This record gives sequence, C-alpha cells and structure tokens, in this order.
Amino acid sequence: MTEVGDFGAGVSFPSETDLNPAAHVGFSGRRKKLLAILLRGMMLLVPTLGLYRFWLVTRKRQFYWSNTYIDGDNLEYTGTAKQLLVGFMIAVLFFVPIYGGLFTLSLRAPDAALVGYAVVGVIIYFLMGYAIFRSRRFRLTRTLWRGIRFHQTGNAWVYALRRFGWTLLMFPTLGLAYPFMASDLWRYRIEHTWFGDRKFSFAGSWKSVAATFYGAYFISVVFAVIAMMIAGPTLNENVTLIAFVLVVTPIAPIIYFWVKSRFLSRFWSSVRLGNAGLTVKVGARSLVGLYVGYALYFILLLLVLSILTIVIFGVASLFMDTGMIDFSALMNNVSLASPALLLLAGLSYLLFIMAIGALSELVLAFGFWKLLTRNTQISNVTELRGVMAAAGEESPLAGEGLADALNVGVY
Amino acid sequence: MQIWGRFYDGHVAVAQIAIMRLQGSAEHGSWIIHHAETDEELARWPAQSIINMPSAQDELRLAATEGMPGARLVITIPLGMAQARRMMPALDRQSKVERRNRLRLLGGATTLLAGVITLYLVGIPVLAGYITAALPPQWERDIGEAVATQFEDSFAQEYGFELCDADPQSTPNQAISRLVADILQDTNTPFGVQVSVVRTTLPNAFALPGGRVYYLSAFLDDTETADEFAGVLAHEIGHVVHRHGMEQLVSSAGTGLLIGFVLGDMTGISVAGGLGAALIDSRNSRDAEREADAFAAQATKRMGFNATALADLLDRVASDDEFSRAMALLSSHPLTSERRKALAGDVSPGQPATPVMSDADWRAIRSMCDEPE
Repeated sequence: MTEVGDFGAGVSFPSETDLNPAAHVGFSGRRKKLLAILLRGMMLLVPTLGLYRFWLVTRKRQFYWSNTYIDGDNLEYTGTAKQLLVGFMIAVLFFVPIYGGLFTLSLRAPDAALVGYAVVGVIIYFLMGYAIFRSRRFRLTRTLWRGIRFHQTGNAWVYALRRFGWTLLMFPTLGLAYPFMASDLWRYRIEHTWFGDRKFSFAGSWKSVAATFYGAYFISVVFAVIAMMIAGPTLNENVTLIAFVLVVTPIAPIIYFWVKSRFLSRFWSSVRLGNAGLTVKVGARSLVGLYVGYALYFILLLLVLSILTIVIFGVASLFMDTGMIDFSALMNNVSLASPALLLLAGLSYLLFIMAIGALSELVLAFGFWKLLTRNTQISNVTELRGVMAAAGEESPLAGEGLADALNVGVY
Repeated sequence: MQIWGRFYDGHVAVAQIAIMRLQGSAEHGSWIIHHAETDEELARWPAQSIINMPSAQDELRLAATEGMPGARLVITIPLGMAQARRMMPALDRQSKVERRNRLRLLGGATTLLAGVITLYLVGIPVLAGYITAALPPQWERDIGEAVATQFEDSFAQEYGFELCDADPQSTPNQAISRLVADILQDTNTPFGVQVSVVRTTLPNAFALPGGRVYYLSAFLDDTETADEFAGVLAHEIGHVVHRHGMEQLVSSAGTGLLIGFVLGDMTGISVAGGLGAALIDSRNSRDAEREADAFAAQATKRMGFNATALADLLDRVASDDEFSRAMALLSSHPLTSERRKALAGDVSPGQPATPVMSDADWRAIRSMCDEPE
C-alpha cells in the first residue's frame, strides 16, 4: 500500500498489491442511485416518445461500469447515447425491407402463416447471435480500465452460424450437446476478446461442466421416472399431472440454479489473460435468493399497481360520465372507449411496463452484477501491468442497434 | 496549488500516483502532471482542453481532449475534487455544452419522431389505400378464402356455424343475389360479392376481404324490414368495394412497424406494441366505417329506399337488454348522430321511399333460417 502524506494521516490510495498478487474485483454501486437513474428515465421516456431509452441505457452503463473496480481501479464506459441512437437507425433501415418482405410473403401465402412465423422466428434467432456478438464488441471497445481499452476481433456472422448450428444439434441429441455448445461459444467470445495488446484465452472445455450438467440431466430423468411411477398405476391423467407438478415444482428450480451457478463459476474461472486469471465463485443459494426476492417484489408491485389502476379508473369514470367501466368490454372493444379514456389506459399501461422493467433492473440485473463482481478474484494481477494500449478505433455502431432492436442483452 | 490523483498514461495499464500543478492562469494556463515520487513530468494538459469523464460519485475522472486517448487523472480525495472543480472553469463549460447538446439531440429526435408519427396518422389511410389499390385482387381473394376457413372453424366451436340455405337457386338466395347486383350497379369492383346467411347465436354482419359477406341469423332475427336488411348489406358491400379488409391489413402492418420503432422492439414480440397498434388501428377502422356508410347512403339514394333504416336497426340493437351480446356488433359499428346523418345522405325527408324488394322475397329471407318443421 502506498501512503501519500500530503494531506496528513488517514489518506491512502487503494492497494497496489505489490505483495499480494491476488486482487479483488468489487462493486460499490448503490441501489438508491440506480433507482434515481431509473425514475428519471421513466419520467423522460414518455415525453420523448421512448427515445430517451438510449440515454437511459448509457447512464445505466456508466453507473455499472464506474462503480466496478478491479484491483482498486474503476472501469470507465465511454460510449454515448448518440452512438446508440445512430446504431438503432441503422438497424431500422436494415429491418424495414425484411419486414416488408415478410408482410408480402404473409399476404401471398396466408395458408402457410404458421410456417411463415416459424421462419421469422428462426431468422430472428439467427440474427440474435449476430447482435449478441456485435453488441459485445460495442461495449468492449467502449470500456477502459487503467486507461487501456478492451476490444474484440472475430466475425459476428461466424458466431451467429456457430450458435445456430449448435442449437440445431441440440434437438437430435435431446439437449445432451449443451456443454459442448456452451463451452464452444464461450471460447469463441473469450478468445476474440482483447485488453490492450493482450488477447484473452479460455482454459475451460465441455469437461469443466460435464459432471454438473450430465449429473443434473440424470437426476432430472430419475425424478421424471419416479413421478411417472407414482402416478403410473392410477392411469388417471389428472393424478399423473399432479404427481408430476408436486415432484417437479420444488426440484426444477434447485437443479436449474445449481447448474447455472456451476456454469457461471467454472466458465468465468477459465478466463485468462497471460498468467493472470479469474476465480469466480457464485453459489446456487445466492442465485435462488436473487430470484425468490424478485418474485416477492414482483407480486408486491403487481398488487400495488392493480390497486392504483382501479383507483385511477374509478376516479376517471366519475369525471367522464360514462358510468362504471366494464374492463373486459373495454379490452375487447377498444374503439368504443373515449379518446381520453384510451389515453389514460395507454399511460397506465406504459407505467405498468416501465415499473416492471425497473423492478427487474433493480433486483435482478443489479443483484446479479453485484453477485458476480463481488465473488470474483484475479490471480497474478501484476501481470496486467505490462499491458500496452493497442492501436485501433472504437467499433462501428451497426451491431449494437440491432441488439437493441432484437431485445438482446441486459446491461 | 497541487492536486493528488491516480494517473493512467494511456500507454500502459499502470496506475501512478501523480500530482497535478497549474502553470499559468486557470483559464489559459496548463496543468502539469508529475510523478509523485520522482517528480518526472508525465503529461501536460492545456487548461482549456480538460474534460470530465463519467465516473462514480466518489471520484473525479479527468481527461484532456488534446491528451493521449485513455490518459486519465482520477481524483478520489474530496478536498482535491472540490479544488479541481473550482480551479477548472473548462469543466463547468463542458457540462453546460454537454447538457445543451443532449437537449438539442433529444429534442430534435423527439420532434422528428413526433413528425413521423403525425405524418403517419394523417397519411396512413391514404397510403394504405394506394398500396391496396396496387395489390392484385387475386391476393385479396386468396386471403379472404384463408380467413373464411379459419374463421368458420373457430366460430363453429363457440356459437355454431351452418349455412341457413345451402341452395343458391332458392327463393331467398335469389332475392339476395338480385339485391346485391342492384347495390353493386355502377361500381367497378373486381370482386364478386357472395352473401352467406349463417345460423348462429351471435348477432352481427360483416365482410371479409375479397367479397365474402356474412349475415348471421341472430342478427337477421333483429332485422325487421327489407330496408334494414338492404341497408346492412349495402354497408358491408361498401367495405368490399373499398377493399377495407386489405387496407386494414396494410395499415396494421405499418402501425406495427411504427410502434416497434417507438418502443425499440422491431421484432414485435412486445405486448406493449399490441395495445398501441390496437389503438391506432381502431381509429383507422372508424374511418372505414364512415366510408362504408357513405357507400350505403349513395346506394340507397340511387335505389330509393329508406336510408336511415340501418341506423334504426342499430338503435334497436343497442337498446337490447343483452348489451354485452351486442357489443361485438356495436364495437365495429358504433352509432353516433353524425353517423345517422351520413347514412341519411342528402335525401330530403319528404321523398317517398320505394320498396327495395317484394314482400314475398323479404318473407322468404326472414324465414330462411327457421328450423324446417
């Protein structure tokens, strides 16, 4: 630790870790601050017809990045809202002809409408792979640590194809290919990631998660068989269903979060930069806690919002002289309602959507970021001091806009 | 005056303890950054070019537009942060410029978007009309077929769906055909209108794209005069002639695109888009109703029967005790005094109405859905 004496005792800078080569990653963000950002965003989203979302995302990223520190130095997000806005415009230009083509197709082959939707779904799934990789590049090239920029090489189309191919393989293998898929995609992402002039490497493989995944797979099959055996002799569909639900309901989330926490820990812990490496320990219990907390808050929020809605519409119906409003009729027959009522309904609906979005941000996204950063350590952190800045520009804007259009990514 | 901080030079990933000193005036001088121990000069930033970078609340992160990209001085001591803010007028200017630029961009983009939406709301009925006119009528017939099949299946399960009189040569069907031909006179629609009277418990009448018109038996029971029946048919045929079904498809696709843009979800997965689209589409469908009424008014004027009969019928159904039962009908055919006026057209009240069909024909139509004894 380097003491600096100019302003007297007690003033010291965060550790330089000369002696201890293992360094902590941490997060100092306050939920209250994030809430303030979100509330401000909710107020500005409506008058800006939703366009404020690009500023909101930028503010959120600045919040997460700037409060995350690695070995005493915070990350910095240098992206701007304008870049996101331009990226989105590009995505719209890209989407309009596709949209028009699909519409014409649906007009010409209305019988094949279902097939058409399936095709659209497949195309969108494929494009999501592209968007994930491109938006990752956008964020990495706008991330600084100790004045050095991250970046990403590799081809987003190749990534999209890999992701798509592995997904196709999941069907005939009944999901058994998943550890191979996950490790391959992780490897592609990590091994194309750079910090300055150094490339990251990925030490993990399907073997890192095989025991967990196939164990969980086996246990799930065993429980399914048990459930069927309990219900078997009765030969009654309802009993089978009840037995199934009784067995599956408590088991499924436990298995899911156990597998998820293992995957996160093992794969993140396989990330290396030269001799430096991450060690991540995320427990299943903390993940379960996160989601249980979210579920409770969600129920509470729904309750509050429902009461609020009833009060608002009750008051509105008094003033509008329409008598009590029949909600189901209103839902079925939008055109019957007065414009003022529609506006009110629209605003309430927006409030509803935004409140739910804010809750998931405050509880899930914030909680997950905190959980991951606080349970991460870096070994041989002194290795990072030799990293030099690499030449190059920030990535172009097209990919990130597509990600926004396709609803990809949380942060 | 010196300010302590952590310095990254933008070349190597190392934090150096540094001291920042002002040389010259706060406005036109330079800030020199020295290594805290060796006093070596690390960087020299003109005071004018110093900017504030996004950072956590408990630190101040400085950079210089003329410095090395990535070079930063991070001040974490509260006193130092306060001193820097006071001594660096460029920071204050920068935040003002940024706020102004943000307002300008956000305001400009919002105004532009509002303009696009307004243009869309004003232009879509016209635009959808043009696009529809350019689409081959055969497409519309194909869609009508497909919709009819789907629709008849789903309707059959909920309310029952059975043709009242399957024989096209029967008296009532012949009478309807003659009436349709009369209404279609002088219009050059590419569609042949096919009216199906169907036995079902829901009171309604509607047209599908491509010329299929359905008159449901429960609604026929409510229809008391031949003029009312003809009025309803003229209205539905108006939808066919104006290709409203197709227009609605085109405009709702456009609305979906717009809502997707506003909400930033081009895939249309979002439920939010659904409600917004429904609001806009309902407005378009009111316009379509007005157009169909105008068509009906014109037809009745030409054929000389009682034009307000349709309005009378809707009035009567609206006062029905089973209001919710009539909801489906009224939601697509809302009755207003304005509408009544439009239906009446410019027929002078004194003008005598001529019967639209013979009493025998009307009796045949009225009883076509009665169960055979």
